[in-house]
Amino acid sequence: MQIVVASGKGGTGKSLVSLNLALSLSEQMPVTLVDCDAEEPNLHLFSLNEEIKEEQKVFVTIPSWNKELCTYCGLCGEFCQYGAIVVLPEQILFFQEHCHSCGGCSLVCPEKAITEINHQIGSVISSDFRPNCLLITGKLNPGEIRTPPVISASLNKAKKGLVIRDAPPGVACPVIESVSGADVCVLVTESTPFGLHDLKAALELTRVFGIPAGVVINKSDGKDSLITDYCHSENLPIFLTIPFTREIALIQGSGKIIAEQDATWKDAFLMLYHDIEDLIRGQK
Amino acid sequence: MSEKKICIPANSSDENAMLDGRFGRAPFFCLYTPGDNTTRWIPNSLAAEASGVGPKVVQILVKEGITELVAGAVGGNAGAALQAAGITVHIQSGALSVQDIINTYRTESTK
Repeated sequence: MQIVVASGKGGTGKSLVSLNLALSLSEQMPVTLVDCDAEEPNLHLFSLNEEIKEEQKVFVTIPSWNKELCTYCGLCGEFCQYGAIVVLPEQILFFQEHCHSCGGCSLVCPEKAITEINHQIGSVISSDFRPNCLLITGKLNPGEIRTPPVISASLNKAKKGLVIRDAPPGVACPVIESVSGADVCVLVTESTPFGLHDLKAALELTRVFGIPAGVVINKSDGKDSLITDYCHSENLPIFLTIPFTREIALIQGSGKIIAEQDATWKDAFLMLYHDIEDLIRGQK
Repeated sequence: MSEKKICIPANSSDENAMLDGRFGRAPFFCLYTPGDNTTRWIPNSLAAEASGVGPKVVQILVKEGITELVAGAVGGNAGAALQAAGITVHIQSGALSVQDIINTYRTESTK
């Protein structure tokens, strides 16, 4: 089963939920945790083991010009819809960050002067997070902008068993890549106008994909009607409410896991998993 | 040395046209040739494109044989492409009419 933890808004507690869900379950079954926030991954900070088990490079293809064959006819630049190629009388300018790796430039080149070469944009790092929990971290290289291929490569390493994907914030391409193909989505939110606004956007995204979703309210001050009213109106189950306490903030902030510190939290996250299973069963 | 030809990004294509602060997304380009004192206006078909506009517009200017650009600002990629293409860039701020800019070039060429 593939569970994706998303939110829309940043800072609601996606990592808190992903980590605690993964570690509560890892005593019962092997769990793979995927850090899909490839632009700024941070789940590894909670790992007890810094040893890298495997590192796989992630490439995209970019064009390379053979200057001996190129006649500077300009067809490649005309074809490129992304403004990545400018052809001057005796010079090719290539703007790599605009390239979408479509390969069209090499197809239209009448001189066969363009070959596609690999360009590394990031890597996928596997490590043993806990004895029964594998962590797969997508890592985009600084200066690169194409996050989705790194996320896709990370998810390719997590095809079997129970997988928990910790999605990046937002609802744009990296989140779409993280949500795509998941069986269920846990939407983490907070009872603020911003939390509600972005919950709506994230819910819309899960509905585009037809993925069943439920909500975790985090940092609750006990007055959550803003979110609970919305969930009732949208027929969204509320899986769990986590209070806004100094104790939880201190544990999480010092790199520890609340479910490992306090058995009542482990039970709460096991309940969350049962609710997720029930939701999926109800959909079938 | 190729003939001097100036590109002025403009917000319209009539006698009231002002220098458009945006280079790649200006709706029109006024192409002025001081040698024979002629102007030609071309619409910018790329003004509404999503991305990569700067380099694409530079490609058009190269094809038009432009040697100088008067602009409010140019982006990083456009700037790199303009430099590689040997197009001199004159950054101008404030409200300037296209006609004022052309007049400045005329005065210069008759000195």
